[in-house]
Amino acid sequence: MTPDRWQQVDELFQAAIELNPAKRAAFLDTSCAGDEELRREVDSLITFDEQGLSLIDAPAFEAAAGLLVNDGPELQEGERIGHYQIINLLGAGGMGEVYLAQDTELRRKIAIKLLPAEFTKDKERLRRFQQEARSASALNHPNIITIHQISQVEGRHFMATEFIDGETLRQRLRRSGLELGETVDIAIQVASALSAAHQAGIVHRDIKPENIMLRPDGYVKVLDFGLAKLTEQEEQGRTPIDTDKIGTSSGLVMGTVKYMSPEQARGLDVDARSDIFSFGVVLYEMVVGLAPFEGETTGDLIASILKEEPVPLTQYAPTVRDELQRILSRTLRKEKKERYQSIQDLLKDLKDVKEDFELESKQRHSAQHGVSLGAVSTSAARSAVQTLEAFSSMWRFSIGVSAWAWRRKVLLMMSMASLVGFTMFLTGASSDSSTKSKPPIESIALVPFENATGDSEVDYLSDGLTEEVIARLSKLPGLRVIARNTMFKFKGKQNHPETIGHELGVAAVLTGRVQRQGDLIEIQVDLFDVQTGKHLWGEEISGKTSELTQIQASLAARVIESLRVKFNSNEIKRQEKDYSKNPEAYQLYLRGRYFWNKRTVEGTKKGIDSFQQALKIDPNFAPAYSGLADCYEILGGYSVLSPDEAFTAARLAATKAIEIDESLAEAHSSLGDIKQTYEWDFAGAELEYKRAIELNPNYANVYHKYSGLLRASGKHADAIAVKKKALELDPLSLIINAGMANVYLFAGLNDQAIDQARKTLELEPNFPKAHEVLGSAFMEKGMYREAITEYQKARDLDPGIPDYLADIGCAYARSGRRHEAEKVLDELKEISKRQHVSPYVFALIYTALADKDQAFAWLERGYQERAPGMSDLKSNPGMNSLHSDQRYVDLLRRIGLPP
Amino acid sequence: MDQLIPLVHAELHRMARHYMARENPGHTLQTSALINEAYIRLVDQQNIPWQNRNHFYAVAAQVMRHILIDHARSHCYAKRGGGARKVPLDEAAALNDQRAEELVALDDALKDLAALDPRKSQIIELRFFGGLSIEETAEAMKVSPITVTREWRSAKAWLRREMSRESGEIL
Repeated sequence: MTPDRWQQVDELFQAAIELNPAKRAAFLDTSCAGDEELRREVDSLITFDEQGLSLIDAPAFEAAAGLLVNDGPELQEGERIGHYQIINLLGAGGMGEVYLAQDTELRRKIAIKLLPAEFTKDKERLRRFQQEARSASALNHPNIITIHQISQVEGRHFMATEFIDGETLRQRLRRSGLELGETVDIAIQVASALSAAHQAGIVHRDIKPENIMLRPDGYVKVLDFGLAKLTEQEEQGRTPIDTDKIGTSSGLVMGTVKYMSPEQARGLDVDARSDIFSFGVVLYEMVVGLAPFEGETTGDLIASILKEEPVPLTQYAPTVRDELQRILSRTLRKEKKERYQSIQDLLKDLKDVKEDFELESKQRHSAQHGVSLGAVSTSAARSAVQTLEAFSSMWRFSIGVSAWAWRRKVLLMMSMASLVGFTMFLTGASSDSSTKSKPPIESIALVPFENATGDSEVDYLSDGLTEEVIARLSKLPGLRVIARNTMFKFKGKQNHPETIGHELGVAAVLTGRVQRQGDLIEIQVDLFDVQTGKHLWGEEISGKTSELTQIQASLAARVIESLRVKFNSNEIKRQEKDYSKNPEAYQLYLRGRYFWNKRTVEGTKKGIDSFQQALKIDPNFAPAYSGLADCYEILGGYSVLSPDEAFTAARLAATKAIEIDESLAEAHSSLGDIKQTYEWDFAGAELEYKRAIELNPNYANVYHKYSGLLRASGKHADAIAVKKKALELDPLSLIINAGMANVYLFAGLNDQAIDQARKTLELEPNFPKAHEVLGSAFMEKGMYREAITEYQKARDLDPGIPDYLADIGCAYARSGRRHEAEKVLDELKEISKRQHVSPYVFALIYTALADKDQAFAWLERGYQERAPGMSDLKSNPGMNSLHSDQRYVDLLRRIGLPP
Repeated sequence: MDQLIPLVHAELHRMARHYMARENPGHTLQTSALINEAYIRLVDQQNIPWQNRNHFYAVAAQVMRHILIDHARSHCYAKRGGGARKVPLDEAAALNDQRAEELVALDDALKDLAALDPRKSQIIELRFFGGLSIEETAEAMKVSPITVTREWRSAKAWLRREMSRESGEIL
């Protein structure tokens, strides 16, 4: 329509609506004079006029004003405050926004901290803050941030400081764990800053990872001296923290509570010793990776600070560990009189730890020391039950247990998921109308749901939901679901769904965001087609946190529907089966699987500990028994325990798991491994593996194991195919990647084995099994020096496994360094006095030394005790030179392997 | 006029934040009050080429329209699974799904109306986004209040029809 025509329509419309409706028709008949189109236009406007437009009757502008408040940072790029010109926003927190700015007078970059108006209203407090901040800055200490100016422009208070081009300790901790050396370095610098401040009579009052900056050159700077003065209660009549108030404000205040000393939390006077306590909390978090005190609510957190003792350190070598432990204990005393009385004393002790640590890491590189399992292997009673008990008392790994304490409370609350007032509802537009015509989705990857609450402490919600949906989908036949283990490597990464999909070779990718408001959680899930990048489906599901179980079920059901695959009712029922009603047990189970996946002696022990804890909470939790079985199989398989001890315990656990839940794929997989490795019931093992696959076609580990069985019987092509299937399902699993290299190795494909082992090491350079298989591939190629290097790396990474030492011995033997090989044999014999060493590894070295009689003597011992490697006798390339010997053929027959 | 938009935006934004810091939580901001105060502050600044008070109102209404529609669009985008921009829950509450979609449709229709009949589109902008009364709008547009009322009504009917066409259904 042209503007002219519109004007014509509009005039007629305005005239018509002025008229009595009864007279309009006649008026328009005359006015339009046969112009039908004009008539229609006016008529339609009259119709819509009658409908009204309520949207604009109620003005939207009030909402707009509200939006202005949260609309971006307070200062814009290019804006000036005093003689500083804003470059960009660096960050924002409870104590204001921080900007990078240019000092236009001194022509240098500085940082501007804008103080929130609510804290600067009280002039007296503002004055005290300024005084303290200035005096700290005046100390001119290399670890204390320099303040250039504290001022105000047009009522906006700000502080101009030195610009530190680095990250906060909080950001650093989020990125990854700290090395012990790094931790001690940072701690020493922070303590130096505090020491200078304390000597000048200044207490920081708010030591926390957010206030510690790390520069790339290694310098550490402590920020915000005196800033706590702004938020502090009045000097007189201070009251304990009002928990209600804190609960409703931002998570940052909450974060600060975490680092408070008991006297601070109680609202009592604070002095330098309060900083010492807070420093201890930070130090603990750097060492352990988790804060020593946790609580679901501020009240719980404060109770924890006031009453609970942090869990002691266990994961470091004794000298360093004991010393650090002593320091932490003295900094984290509830009574300030019992703490370090001055930070100088603490600083001195930290410097001693640094020396010890440096000394020890030197020793660690030069010496090799095995992990002694002491009494267990020699004198532990034979019965499996007793073995289990012995483990549970010996391997009580308390580390991390309390870290889970806060989660425990939350999880318990979730588990109480009462059906009362179940108000879950589904909203949002679901699948577009053409859904039916589209082909079903046959493979899917679930990116760990984003925790959009801004509170990393509710990761358990987003993670738990992701895990649950993966676990449920995995049980559906005909659908390939990428394993949790692989998917969680994508957690927190901003990868595009399409990119992830292509990388993992799946048809669709599901993403999700979890929001929480009060006790309401809201999950937005979206399904994307990897090929076309199209958004296939999206939905928002919400409900109360107390109804988490139902939300999970609904979420899974809706996702399954969106895949457009037809499943029968049995299949649907199977996926609905809950792992455990107890989320705490389930978390411990996942933790156990995490450690188990490390395939190290230490990891396996921690795995056993986690599974046992899970079973304490839920004694009928079948998957935890299966996990326990898998851990014992590893200790047996790596000849850390005698086969008898390891596999009896494993069988007991696996049988128990099947007894509780016959439909548990993991349990059949565990049993299959026992039948294969220890009982040499290869047909039985195959049946177990097949049953497991039928029950959970997406359980990567069972393909991994099954491939091992095929390899042992010399079916190399099948072994490779099945291992590839495992890798498809869990492409980032280290053990499956290393296992892939191993099947190539056994199949004689040494170059492929080397490539694959290197790929594994790209994923994790410190995975001992990958170094071992790389070494073996080098050995088969006659590259002995390279082989020894790799074996040595495996040995350094996991000194508790004698196999790696034996590998080195084989390499010496094969390269003609007979004397050194014999020394390794002696060393292994020495170790076997302390712990079990498999006769099979002796046989391997003697084979490499071409001493067939000794080799067969050791193999005979291996046969007698059913040593784990024996089932690989046919396919292990290390045994190739024995193939022509009648004794070898005879052994194969007795084990039950094909000739 | 385009150079003035960022200036007015910054000023309104700054004032809104100041208000909120001073006022009790739960207090809602009055857009018209905010715009009036911003005007008083900005006319003091000599170097800004304000033609008159009405000119300022026109700019302010445009700024409010941008802010609101931007938020509505990103809200709709997030709901459709774009997920690129995070919409905080409180904001989501201020702007429910249906309303956000309607606002976006309104903005689209208003652009078409501006091409056809700029005066009507501006009346909608001033009243709906700028929060002006009929009298203030009349003054700003230099027309009579009766004209504003009549134009408002036919613009509404037109927009109503356009928006129904857009969504393919009766609202």
